[in-house]
Amino acid sequence: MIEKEFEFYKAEGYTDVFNYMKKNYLPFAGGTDVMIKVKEGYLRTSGLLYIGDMLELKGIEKKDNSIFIGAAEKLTDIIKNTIVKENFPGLIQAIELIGSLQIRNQATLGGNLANCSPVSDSMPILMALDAKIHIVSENNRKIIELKDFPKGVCQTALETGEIIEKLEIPIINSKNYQAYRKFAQRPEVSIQKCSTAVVFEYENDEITIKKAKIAIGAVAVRALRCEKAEQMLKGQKLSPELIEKVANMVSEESKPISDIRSTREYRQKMVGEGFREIALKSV
Amino acid sequence: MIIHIKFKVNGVDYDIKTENNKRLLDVLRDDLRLTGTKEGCGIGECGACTIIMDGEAVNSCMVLAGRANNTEIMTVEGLEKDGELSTLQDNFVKMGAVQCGFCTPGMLMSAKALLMKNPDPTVEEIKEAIAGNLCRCTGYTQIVEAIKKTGEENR
Amino acid sequence: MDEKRNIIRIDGYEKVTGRAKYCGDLYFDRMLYGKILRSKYAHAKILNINYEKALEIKGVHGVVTSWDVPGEKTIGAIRFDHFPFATDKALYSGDGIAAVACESEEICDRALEAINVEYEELPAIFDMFEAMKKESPIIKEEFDSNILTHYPLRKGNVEQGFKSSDLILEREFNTQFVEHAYIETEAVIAVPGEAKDCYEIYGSIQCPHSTRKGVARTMGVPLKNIRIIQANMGGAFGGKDDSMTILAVRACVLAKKTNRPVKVVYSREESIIDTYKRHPYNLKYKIGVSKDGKIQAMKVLMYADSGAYLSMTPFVTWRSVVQATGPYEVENVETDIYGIATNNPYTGAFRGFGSPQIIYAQESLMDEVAEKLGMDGVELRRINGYKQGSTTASCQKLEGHKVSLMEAMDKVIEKSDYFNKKEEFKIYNAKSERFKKGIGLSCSFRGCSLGAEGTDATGAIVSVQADGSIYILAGLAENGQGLKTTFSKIAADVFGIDVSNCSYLPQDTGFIADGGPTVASRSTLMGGSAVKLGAEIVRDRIKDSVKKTLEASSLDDIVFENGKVINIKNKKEIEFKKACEIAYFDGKNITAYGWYKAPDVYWDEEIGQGPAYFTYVYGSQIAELTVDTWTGKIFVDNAYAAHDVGNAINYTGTLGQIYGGVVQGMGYGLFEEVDVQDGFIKNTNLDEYFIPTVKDFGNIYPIVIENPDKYGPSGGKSLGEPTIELMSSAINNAVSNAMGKRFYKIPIDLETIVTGKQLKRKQKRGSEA
Repeated sequence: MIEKEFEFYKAEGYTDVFNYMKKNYLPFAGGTDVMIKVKEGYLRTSGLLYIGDMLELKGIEKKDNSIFIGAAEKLTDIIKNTIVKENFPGLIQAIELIGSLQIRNQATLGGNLANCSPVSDSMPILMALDAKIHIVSENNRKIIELKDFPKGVCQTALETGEIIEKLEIPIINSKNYQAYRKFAQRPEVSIQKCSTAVVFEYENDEITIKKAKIAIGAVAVRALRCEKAEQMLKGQKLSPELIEKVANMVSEESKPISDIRSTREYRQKMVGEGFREIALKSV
Repeated sequence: MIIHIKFKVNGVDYDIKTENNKRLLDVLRDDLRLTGTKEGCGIGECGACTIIMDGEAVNSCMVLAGRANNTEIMTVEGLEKDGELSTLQDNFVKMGAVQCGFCTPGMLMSAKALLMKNPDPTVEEIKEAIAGNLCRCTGYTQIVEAIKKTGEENR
Repeated sequence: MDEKRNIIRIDGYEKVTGRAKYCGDLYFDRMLYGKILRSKYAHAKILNINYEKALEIKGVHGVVTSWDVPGEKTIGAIRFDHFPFATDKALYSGDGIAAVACESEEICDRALEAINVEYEELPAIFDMFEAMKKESPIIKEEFDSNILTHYPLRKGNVEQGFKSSDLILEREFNTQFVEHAYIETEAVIAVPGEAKDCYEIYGSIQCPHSTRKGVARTMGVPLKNIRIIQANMGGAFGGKDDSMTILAVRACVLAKKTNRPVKVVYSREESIIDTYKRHPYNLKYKIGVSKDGKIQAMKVLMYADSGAYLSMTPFVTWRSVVQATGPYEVENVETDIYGIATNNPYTGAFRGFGSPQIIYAQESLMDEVAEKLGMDGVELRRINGYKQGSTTASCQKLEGHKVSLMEAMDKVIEKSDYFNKKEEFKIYNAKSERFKKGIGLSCSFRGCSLGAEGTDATGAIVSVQADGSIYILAGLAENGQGLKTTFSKIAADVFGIDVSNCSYLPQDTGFIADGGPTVASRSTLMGGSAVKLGAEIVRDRIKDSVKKTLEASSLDDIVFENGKVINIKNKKEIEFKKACEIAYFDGKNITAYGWYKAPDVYWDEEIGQGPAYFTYVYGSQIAELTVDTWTGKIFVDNAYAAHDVGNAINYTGTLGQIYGGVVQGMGYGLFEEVDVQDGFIKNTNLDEYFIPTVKDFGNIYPIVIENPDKYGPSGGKSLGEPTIELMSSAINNAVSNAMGKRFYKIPIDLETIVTGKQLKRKQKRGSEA
């Protein structure tokens, strides 16, 4: 039994969603984060609104050189999806490391982003993939860059009355390399100490880096893009020296703290290590 | 708030009224008295409350009662058929996969969900499937062996 | 595995079908739910408790505090120093202040919020060394100082020993608070009985008779008024002993107040905050050896953090003092251990019981000494290790049982290919910058059962039915370890029948005599012997009844085999079933009480000398692992564990104990730590307190050694605890083999490997905080 009284409603469509959100209901899909907040007494809403079965929030499709993933798509279903697998192996890597199988069978990508924990496993790689978030409210639709989405610990750019409808991830047409490295006592079934996500887009020579995107998790109140490190790689070919320099820069750009899960020193070192490891594997 | 849930548990249709702030785990245990499903942490970490919902293993402590409406659920009580243990259960007993038995129902349901999709899994696939089920007694080895053997017997 | 030796667990069926009822699965008519209000401070005076507002909430049936405890206010296994409800002061953050009984857990929570407690915060001490300072306030008024216990051990002359040493090494080690993390949290239901002032208590209670003592004392009633009925246990590992007495008292006081059954099930957070942990130790070892590797002297000084209560600290630390110098012959020994009071969570019994800490230190030390002498740790252990007739630090001659330390070491070395792997890894490590491989060994001896801790006797009832089926009930309890199966097998063997003919009755203090606690790996050895004696009494009575039918001239000619009772002289035989029927109609009492009292042991507390235990077990484990030096991740690829169990009565269960203990040992060595900061636990659930999952290690290879012991039933002795005590030092030695660098603290977490500093933040000292 959850030790708090609240209302529950299952939304059948957007009309329901917006009506109930006006009544201060919190929308949720998989529930694996919300249930913990409820248990710990952090929930400050009058009710919970289940949106996990809404067709508007489902579906994975390829359109206009992007892949769209419905906010209520379950992680397990995303992992199994062939178009995601083909285009975003880095994302699959990250999602496979979220929780246990039982959790992935319920949790959704939209939920993982909306919860916006600094230790989210999907956030860094999606940031590195330049993902965009499609937001819908009663009278409006908008698209924002994922990197502008997190505002702080569990705080997002979502305004009152808005929910995430879907995620848009642009397909990278050139040869590319994507990877996610999570640091934890164990990668599976545990919360990260920190993480590094890397996407390299290559020139036609398939060696020269056209564009590098690096995002790091759990080293600040929100996941970060390492822009200085990215700049260092632009137009370059990877060499041991360059990898070393960039790894150091990634560490430098992180702003970790010490807490129950790790120390500042370890985190700072590891995010750079994560880059080094991925960079070495990429060549 | 009272809600109305219609669902199928272990092949039996239920139509119940319960409080909406219950978790599926509480509905199963308190309302249906299917106490085989256990609570170990309440935060989806230990897997003791694992059940199969619409074919997938989920932590029933992470499912709100209202979400169970129109679903089909299987709990540990649903594994035995006509007074006969399933091969999976039988192998758990015979191969030392059970000690205190508290993680066992969740462990069995994770294994069952795996075997439903993958009748003869590899050791790695088994480990992946039960990585979210904590056991403090057995050191897991005999659990993995029991699931593996069940798979082999499915060949 | 030898199929014939595979015994089917007798409580397996109910556990795989969900039929097995654990305490939380029980419901009683008019049952209320209880919850506990705990202290806001690690050390505080309680000035006032006002719960008027809580009583106004609909569905609240009662609130109780220390004032409602009708009898004595304290309990304690060794000394009565523990308050189930804080009376004047709260001594740690988990101390119970009040409890409520309500119609639902949800109402309980609201009721707890409505209770207003006025505290006066007192200076708290979280550091053992701070606690020992003269100027520090005394935490526990009933003691003269914060040093709660001290056990010395003196043998020979250490100064002389160090003088004759060629190498002297001094090292300091530290170990951590550890959580039992049984998957079932603590649960109790207290039910008012029909007779006046009587209560039935159902619960996840490891030692029902110990709990009964505490409940009767605090309820102010005779022992007979309290019946403790053990529900199926979802794991204990030593952790459901006095913690459960505390909970049972709380529930019982609520039941008295409301005159209704009251069920209290701790959440995981409450379980971690409220109950005791494994003792953190600070250990200072000084060892002197001669060039040829002979240990000349050892001086050991240890401090154990007892937290706010005494609990089992005296017995835990006593075991440490007996075994501190390891399974090695040392002429000159000086050991001291102190148990220190702090305002940390209290510490108590946990599988291993004072041995994992010392073995971690002493076995790590042995490898380092060997390294300094330029020999392999194995060689050093062979030179000094116990052999038949060796003498322990307390001058006990090891005889009357097989001293199998060398056998255990040899077998584990052979199975793991230890020496070849060492060579292989040297080559591998020279080439590999990032990943380093290592292999490490440790070994131990362990005194079986309680030893000179206290009275060591236990009983069992074997009740044969007229149709040849059997009830067994023993004074020791099934905690998941497989006792029901092992005891049934022992009885079944006496009657020459299959174990499936036996049923094990629920442990109930009303039906069986107090046979001491289910601790110290004593069940098979002690309880098993009682079962065997009981079964033999019945067997002899049956023999007497069937003598005529079998035309036997002597009772000695009658044997029980393969479900038959046979006269070996004339080959006449009858079914066991038939024999039971004959005895039954013959008016024989075919139920008997077996009682087993352990052989005498002795300990001189002044000098720490004497035969501490009547028999010992020996074991050796090896860890083979890979260190990712970039990320600090240590992965045990293979673990090997050789244990002398006397006789593996329940072979499947024996393997299960080894697998389980080894994995718990890995958690202890690598990542388990209760993070206590300023007296408060930070990791209160399993998302932050990690226990090993199936993916956290590679393979485990158990090696079962069987040298039957004359004191054990069919030669069987102890196994549960030896399995957990060796892995942390084997891992530490393997890590140092891999990295060429030694560590002196556990857990060896990722941060330690990468940054040299453990994740755990330094304990702030209370008075400076």
